[in-house]
Amino acid sequence: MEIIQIVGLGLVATVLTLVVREQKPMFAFLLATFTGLFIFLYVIGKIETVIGVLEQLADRSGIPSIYLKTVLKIIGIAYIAEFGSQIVRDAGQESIASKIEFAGKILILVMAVPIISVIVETVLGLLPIGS
Amino acid sequence: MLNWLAVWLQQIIAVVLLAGFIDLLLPNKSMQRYVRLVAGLIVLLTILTPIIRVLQGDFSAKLDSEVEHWFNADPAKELHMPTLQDIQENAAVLKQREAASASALAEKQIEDAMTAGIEQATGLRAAAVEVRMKAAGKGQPAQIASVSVTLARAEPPESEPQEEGSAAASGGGDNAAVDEVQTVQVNIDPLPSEASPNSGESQVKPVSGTIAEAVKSVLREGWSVNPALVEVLELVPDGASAR
Repeated sequence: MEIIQIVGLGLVATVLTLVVREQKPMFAFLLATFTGLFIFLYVIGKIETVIGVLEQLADRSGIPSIYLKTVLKIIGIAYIAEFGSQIVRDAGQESIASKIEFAGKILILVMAVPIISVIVETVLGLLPIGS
Repeated sequence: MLNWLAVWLQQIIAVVLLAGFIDLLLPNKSMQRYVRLVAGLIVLLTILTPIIRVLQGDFSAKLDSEVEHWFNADPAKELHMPTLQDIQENAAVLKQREAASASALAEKQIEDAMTAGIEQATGLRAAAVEVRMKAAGKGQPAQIASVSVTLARAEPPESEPQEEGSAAASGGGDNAAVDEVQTVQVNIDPLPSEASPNSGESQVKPVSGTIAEAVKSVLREGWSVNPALVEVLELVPDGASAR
């Protein structure tokens, strides 16, 4: 039933935004932002279940916990960057939004650096020159 | 053997499932390429695990430490990216050093010129001239804070060394012929700021009277130094001071 609540909230907020936008575009933007924040925070608690399942999976299969940590960090970065860039895009600042997304992409790539370094070291260890 | 193979396959399956999950959880398409790269690397690492283990032993601890090191280190320090504050501090230090070396150079040159000037004008031989300069403020030239002239000891042939100062002073002539002195004393480092130069068996003593006046007037005319800032000292040999 929560999806009904969320969709209802979204619809009400949309109508209100459309009404207010004629008079006060600023308030329309704030309304949209806070609705988005509310839904985000409302649902972010639910994701705990998914994360729990993932942790269990990782535990039982014995993959290093580093992998799971990295993956979860990536998801978090992607969500937060997406959320922020959408808010900024709502306010009409397309360029800032794309910068936020760019930062998110960079941070995701940074997550890969330790893994890449281990792989590169292994490959170098395979070669007779490297050893 | 079979057990090990089973664990390995289990790991691969789990990691691939994980990668599928994050692909599903991603908010938008634009991040997908990047996330897929990282997920692919993780899958690759899992598949390579047996090879890595053969080559390098237990690598997961190494990976752990590397990740911890990578994420916990202060990024600014780690990458040596100077902040604006660092740059400004460096600039201040460099500026200070530059000013110090410039004033040291100026002090040295003034000291040399003063030594030559005193010798030329009064005939007295200055063993050491110490000039202290202080910055007057931003954008203004530094000014002379104090001058300390240490005269080499003049040795008149007929009089006792101790009375030489007064003898020369009573002589009165600025250009009175003063014998060339061999300045054998090596110890020319007593600073004028040190306690009192004439206490104990120190090797300099302040000079008053005409010699000091002459030196001060030379400095005033040549370099417009306030006579109050000038200190005239004289080297006293150990034997004379002991007596």
